[in-house]
Amino acid sequence: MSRSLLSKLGPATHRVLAAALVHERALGKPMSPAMIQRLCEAEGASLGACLAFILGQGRDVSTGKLVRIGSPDSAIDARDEETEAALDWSEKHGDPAPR
Amino acid sequence: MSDNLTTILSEAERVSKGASPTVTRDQAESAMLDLAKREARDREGTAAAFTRLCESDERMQKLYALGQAADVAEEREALSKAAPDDRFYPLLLDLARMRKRTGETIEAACARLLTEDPVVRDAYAAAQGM
Repeated sequence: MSRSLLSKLGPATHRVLAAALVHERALGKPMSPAMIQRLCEAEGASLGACLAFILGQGRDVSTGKLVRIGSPDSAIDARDEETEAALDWSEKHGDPAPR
Repeated sequence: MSDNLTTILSEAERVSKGASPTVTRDQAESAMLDLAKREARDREGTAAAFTRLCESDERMQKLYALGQAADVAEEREALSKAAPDDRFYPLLLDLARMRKRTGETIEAACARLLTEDPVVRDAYAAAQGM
């Protein structure tokens, strides 16, 4: 991640991203979307930015369903500045969570 | 300790010894967060406590394993209810074999694809007539 990206993400989002990294290393799989949502709510972190960086996904603006970043025929809901920064970064640098 | 967390921790212990899960993945994951909140130290936030417990606490690892077992059990039940001539499941198994991760079972890969892959999820919904 570039320095400019980190400066655009808040401390609560940093904490959730760090927790997700440790979760994946310690438990062998990425956090589920429901777990990410719970942790974001508990910390006050940006759910959109966390979904983008942890799973490479976002909520489709019209259906509300989770879709992969860059999926054709879908537009991801960037409802806050942190999500917008995460999506901008992903657009420039590629999927942060290739599966 | 809340009664619910105590119950789920007992269930996780039971499942770690080979019993079948009776809770959902959602309940197990919710208990993981409850455990982190309960175990948070002075001035330690939920995410920091969650991270610490993921690394070193056996209860957290058992709760996670319970969630995975519950996920597989739910998928198994769904599979058992499917029509025998349904073409979705053979395709799902083929896909799971191709995309399974190192150390992951076919069952776990099926469960992951069904919960995380939007194409598979939509195909499953279509196969179930949803």
